[in-house]
Amino acid sequence: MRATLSYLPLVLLAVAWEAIARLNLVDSSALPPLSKVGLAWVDLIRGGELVNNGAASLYRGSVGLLLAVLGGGGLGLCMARWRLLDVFVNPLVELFYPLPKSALIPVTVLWLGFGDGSKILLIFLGCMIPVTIGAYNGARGSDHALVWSARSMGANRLRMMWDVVVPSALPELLNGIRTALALAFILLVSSELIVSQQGFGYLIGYLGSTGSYEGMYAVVLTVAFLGFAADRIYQLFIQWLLRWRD
Amino acid sequence: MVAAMARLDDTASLAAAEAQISRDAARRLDIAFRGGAGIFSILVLLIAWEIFARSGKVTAFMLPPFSAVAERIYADAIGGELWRNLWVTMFRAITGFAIAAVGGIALGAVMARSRIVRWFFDPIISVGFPMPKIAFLPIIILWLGLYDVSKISIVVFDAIFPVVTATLAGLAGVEKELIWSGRNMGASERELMWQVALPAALPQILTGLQVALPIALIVAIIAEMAMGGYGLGGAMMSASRFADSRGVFAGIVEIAIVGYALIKAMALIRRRLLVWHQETAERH
Amino acid sequence: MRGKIIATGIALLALAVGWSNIGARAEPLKIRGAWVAPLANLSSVWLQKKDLAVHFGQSYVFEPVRYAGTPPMITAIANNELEIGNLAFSTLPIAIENAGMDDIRVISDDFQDGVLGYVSNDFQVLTDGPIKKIEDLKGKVVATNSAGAGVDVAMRAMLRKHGLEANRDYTIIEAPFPGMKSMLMEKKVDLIPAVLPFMLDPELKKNAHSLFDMKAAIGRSQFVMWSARKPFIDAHRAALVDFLEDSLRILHWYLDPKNHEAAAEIASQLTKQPPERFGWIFTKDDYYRDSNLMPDLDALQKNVDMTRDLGFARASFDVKAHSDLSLIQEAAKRLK
Repeated sequence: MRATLSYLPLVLLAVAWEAIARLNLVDSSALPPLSKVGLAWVDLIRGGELVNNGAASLYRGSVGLLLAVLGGGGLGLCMARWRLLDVFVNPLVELFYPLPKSALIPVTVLWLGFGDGSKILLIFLGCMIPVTIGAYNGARGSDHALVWSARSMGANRLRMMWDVVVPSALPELLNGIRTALALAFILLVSSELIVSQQGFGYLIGYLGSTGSYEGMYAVVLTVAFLGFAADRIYQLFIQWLLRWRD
Repeated sequence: MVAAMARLDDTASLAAAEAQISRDAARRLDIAFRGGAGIFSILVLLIAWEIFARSGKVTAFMLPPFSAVAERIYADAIGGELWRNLWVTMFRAITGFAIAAVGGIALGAVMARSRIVRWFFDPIISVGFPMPKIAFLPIIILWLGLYDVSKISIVVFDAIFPVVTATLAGLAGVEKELIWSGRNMGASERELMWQVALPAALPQILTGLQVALPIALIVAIIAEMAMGGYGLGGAMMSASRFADSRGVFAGIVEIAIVGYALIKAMALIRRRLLVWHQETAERH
Repeated sequence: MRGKIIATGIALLALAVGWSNIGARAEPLKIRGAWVAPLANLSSVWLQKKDLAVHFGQSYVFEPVRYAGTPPMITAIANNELEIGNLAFSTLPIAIENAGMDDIRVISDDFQDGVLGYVSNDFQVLTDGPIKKIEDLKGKVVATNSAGAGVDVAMRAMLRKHGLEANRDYTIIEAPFPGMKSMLMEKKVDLIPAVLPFMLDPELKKNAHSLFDMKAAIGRSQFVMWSARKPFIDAHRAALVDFLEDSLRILHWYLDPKNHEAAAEIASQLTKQPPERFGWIFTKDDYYRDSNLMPDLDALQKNVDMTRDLGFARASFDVKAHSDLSLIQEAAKRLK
């Protein structure tokens, strides 16, 4: 009951949308009624366009993000452990951290073309840095006493990394991954919007350019919902992963 | 440093001051070492780029040498094109960011005070924050056309969420005693907000702004790439259409420098604004 | 750091690509061909008549791919995502001179513009809009399908003749051809390129009219031609000749007046519009196509030189040296 009440404003917005469109307060092509958007969504699912393009997008997004988590997490942990690596790589991380990642879109296309490869590379490059920083800060903050005691107990480096450093770096690492998750959606959709022949972004642009605005709204709302859902699911995952902390 | 100098009068703490100075010196040496290593790393990267590009393993279309890219940036700077594009992109990103900052703080403050406003916006913010709002770009184009208004609007739309959430969190974290004592001293609600609550929430608000700024830049460049016209993003796209790889890479370098400068400037502003705050004091 | 990542990424991808290729060893050659506008580009209606293609599935398979314009094809060719690009007269020099792909060869005609008695691409404004002459475009937004494309370069050339420079005097934005009509009708832009089949849209015809056409802008042009890279041609010559032979068969079928109704029916299915609208296809109301798919290299040379003179390509080159018409000639010979 409380949950319904707290989400009531969203329902109100939806009703207002429908009413504004039905009463023709604005041009119906600029704002088609929500009910028609819903019908267009069903059509897109039936026709397979949404499923096919969505599958392409989700594949690119998940592979890119996975590589970023592995690469960035590994790099961050190593930088925190080995000072020399830290001294020489940190400046590069700092240099690329503020780079607006969208600037990489034309370059990844230049290297790998219009298919999956360029999107995966873009998401990998764009999402790696926040993960690296999360892992680095987390591991640096890890309790030195823990590390020493583990070392005195004869744990080797790799073992110690896994048993001591990774768990204590986890909260910040997971936060970095959350930033990366949001960034992955942004980069995925925008690169597909600008340079692609498949995917959610492509479908949005294509439907928009052919004047199928109901369909365009349907895909936009789908992407927005997926971004929201991914974040919520990830947060639940974090809670489950960090349950030992409380 | 200043603190150390001030203490010199006090002969009793002379020894402590000396220790402080030597610690400062050691830290400065460390900073110098790190700075040197940083420049070294960046140089290595640039040289590696140059050598790899000239090795014949890649074509100049895939990766033009850094020297050619630098030459191109220089030529664009002399020709004035660079400044025109830079100005337009900055105008869009900063205007959007400023509107998002003012609007976001205002909305956060109102939400913190009014239960109804909060009830209405809470779900919208919490659902809207993690959404990839860039997907709405074609809809914004549909509504507002292709000029600056739509480009700035999408920047605001994307950058406002972290500001609102940070303001809310910051205001929620202000200690109750601070508010009570302010109220006891006869401050009005408006004075409480402006003189007690907002300054106390400032560190978190600034964090929100620091999250919003890179978002504003990313989105401004995407909007330019998608809509064309002037601007660093538009220039990159147009260069890529004409298979002008130097132009594409020049764009990356220019955008990287701009991003770096803006984000460093923001960090500097933060330190200035929070001179009084514990967080800054710890660094001195 | 970045170099390594890129190298690793490329290596990973190369591995993935290599993987997918292993299984395909014994299969017929896969030829991907680009198209931009439905019906206008032969590739877009090729598969609909693949029943005529005797070698299809034997020595090769053909896979048409839609692009928003010809410039992205350059990147696609460079990345082995596309075998036959239908490059325009402007994107050929951009690919050869700017991108340095010196091994690109013109292998056949797709269609030509400005040939007497045939249709020329049009540039249109709203009939009751503010633009009465080209000079009125100062400070306005004009649409293009893709910067550097054939229609784009022709449009810039025409505006330059009237003292207007892109980005200085007017803004260019990109939109795919199917979306041009709504861009103009919703007044988001003031000038659109109207190409076939979109220029015949009834709503557009009612509300818009021509400001100038491409013939007036640049004269006769070898507008688009099929182009492939030399190593690919050398490696798969026999299969390519088979492909061109089948393409000629298909083109001849479309050009044959007695197939006109069936062709209109295909166009109708493709564009989801009534067949009555397609009286024009493959007639004199369509673009000019050489019935032997032979490109007009003299016209092309002039177009390429002009593209350089306008500053869009770094240099010009000998078009004949960058053509290999022996394949299409051999294919034509087989049909006799």
